[in-house]
Amino acid sequence: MITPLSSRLVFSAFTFLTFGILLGNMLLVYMGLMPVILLLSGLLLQKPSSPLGAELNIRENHYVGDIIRIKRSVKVVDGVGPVLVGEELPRLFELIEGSNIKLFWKGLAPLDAEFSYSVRCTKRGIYELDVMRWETKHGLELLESESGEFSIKQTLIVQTYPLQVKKIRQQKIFSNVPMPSEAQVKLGIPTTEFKEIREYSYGDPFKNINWKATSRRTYLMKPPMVNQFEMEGMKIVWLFLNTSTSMALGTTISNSLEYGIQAVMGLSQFYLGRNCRVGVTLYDDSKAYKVIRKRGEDDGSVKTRMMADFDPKSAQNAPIKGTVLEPGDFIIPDLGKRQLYSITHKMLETEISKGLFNLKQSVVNCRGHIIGGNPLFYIVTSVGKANYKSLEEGINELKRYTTTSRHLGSPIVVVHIAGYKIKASNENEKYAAEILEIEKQKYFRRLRRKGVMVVKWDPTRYRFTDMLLSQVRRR
Amino acid sequence: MRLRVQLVASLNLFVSLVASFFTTQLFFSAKISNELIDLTINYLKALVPTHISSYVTGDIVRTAILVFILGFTLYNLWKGKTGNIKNIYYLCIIMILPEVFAHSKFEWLKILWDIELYSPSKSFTETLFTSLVIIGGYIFLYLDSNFREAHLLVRRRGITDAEIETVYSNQSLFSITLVTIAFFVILMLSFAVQIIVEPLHRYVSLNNLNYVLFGVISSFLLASTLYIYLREQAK
Repeated sequence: MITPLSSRLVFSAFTFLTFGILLGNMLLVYMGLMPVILLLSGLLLQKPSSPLGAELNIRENHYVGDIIRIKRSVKVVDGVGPVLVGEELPRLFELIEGSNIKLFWKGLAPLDAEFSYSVRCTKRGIYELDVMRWETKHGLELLESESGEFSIKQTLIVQTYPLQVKKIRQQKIFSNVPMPSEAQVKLGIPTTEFKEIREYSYGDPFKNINWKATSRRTYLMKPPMVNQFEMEGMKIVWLFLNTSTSMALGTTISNSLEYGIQAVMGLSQFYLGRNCRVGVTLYDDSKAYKVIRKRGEDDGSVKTRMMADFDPKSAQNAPIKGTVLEPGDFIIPDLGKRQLYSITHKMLETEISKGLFNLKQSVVNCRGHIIGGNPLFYIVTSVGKANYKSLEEGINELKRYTTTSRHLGSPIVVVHIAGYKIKASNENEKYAAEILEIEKQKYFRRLRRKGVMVVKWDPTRYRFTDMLLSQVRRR
Repeated sequence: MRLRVQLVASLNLFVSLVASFFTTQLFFSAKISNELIDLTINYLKALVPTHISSYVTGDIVRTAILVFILGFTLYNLWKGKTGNIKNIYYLCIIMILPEVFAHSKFEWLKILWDIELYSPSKSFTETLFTSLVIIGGYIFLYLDSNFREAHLLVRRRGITDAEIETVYSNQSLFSITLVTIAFFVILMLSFAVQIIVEPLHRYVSLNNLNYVLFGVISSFLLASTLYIYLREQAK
């Protein structure tokens, strides 16, 4: 379709030609021919054809804060005129260098251009770079511009940085970071981690005989003693992450939930690297729903009743109507890289209010996987007045499935993220955040009295790795 | 790239000044404008009696008109919007019209009301050249201002100045190339018409029916062009 500019040229030509013919004036006729010839020659050279594009060498996996160099190529074969190409960046990507929108001039020769730009991934997530949009214009703007898009289909996975804790082989150093107290199953490949000394039984390898201990008992004519080692991957760690609105303190990019996810990822890598089975559950302590077990009711019936009773309209922060509630909204404990991948994927999709149940309810939901394993529980949350009661209820429920060992420490660890400190932007706010954190000391004391280990993490001052290393002591 | 933008800016200035200069020349050569200038001189003398001769006063008035036209052109060029370019164009067209109309073959005023038109003071080729310079210059300036306005919108979308300058300079050079081609094509056409007009006139005057034939063909061509244009607009 032609533009107003072309219409104006046609009108001018028509006026001059008409007056030229009426007055028998060849000068006016020639003046009228000028826009006509220009229009004809301009329209003979069409506007640029649809560009073809391609993506070039972009890795799929990135970490938060990484700077990605995105390269694109554009090819236009026919026509003359400006070519505008660009792609929409995900909302939370920061443009560091270059531009994601580019203007080229397509002359008589074919255009084969490349351009690149750098972006910083500010938040974890799975991002799709679907299409690249283009717009072509006529060289003289005699025709309307044409726009379209071509598919690039690229996925960028941005995850939190991995925890980089090196194994320190120094006997005088020990860590207070708790490990799960016992293995659930006694079969498996033994690790080098010592568990206990027991009497020799048929089938035990001779290399495991503890000769020192055996020699002390020889006068009793008792069987030799053997060293028992922990079996590989049989210890269980459960990570509970609070996704309530109380974790939204801070900005979209930097808030308690983001640091909570970082902590969960860090702990997952730490324990999976030590052959533990790690499970993850998302919960929301603002969900007030409770399930009371009736006499003689089994787990399946509890879940069914819970689903039937759940009223999304009345519950606070209820899920969107029509959402299928899955009581098993957790990752069951497993080990290895596949489990790490599952947890990473789950964490990438985690948002505020993603959890459907409160802590107690979540524990009830996954109790089938907990019973008998004596796992180590981590609860990553931001402790406060509003959620303390819910947290306490959840911890009471957890304590039903754990046995406390003086030697191995508390089996329940609460990682408290100092949310107000994340939000504080100036000195006054920092002081206020400090006071608010001091006010929370009473809750921490109460939790410790219950035998819970409380780890306070101020992400503005320490990395999660530093927080774990702070647990290392010299003998 | 900056150099090319400067080249385009220089071209803009050159084209406007040349168009204004030719316009003034054509205006001063037209008899009607000379009479208007004489009238102005007489009016001024009556208003402010001086001892300066009419010849000198005429020069002063002509210089004043030239300065006004150049100033008007430069001011509008500096403003650079499409509206300003139109102002230059209108002024130029109004000023050359007396000389252009003097080259008309049908004197409607004389036929209808017996009013005598002035005879041309410049040759046909000279007037044609000036007219084409003015109309070509206007088209170039108008396209150029159009590009500038379009690029202002593009700049708001985050395109860098360097890219805009590249495209703008290329577009301007592209438009001036096409305008120059059109200019020379018409010049050649005018020379060709001067050569073939005599034999064509002889052929056409052989039979009165030929006029009708040419008229029908021309009407058909005009109607079909209009139809294509309207269909294109409807899309």
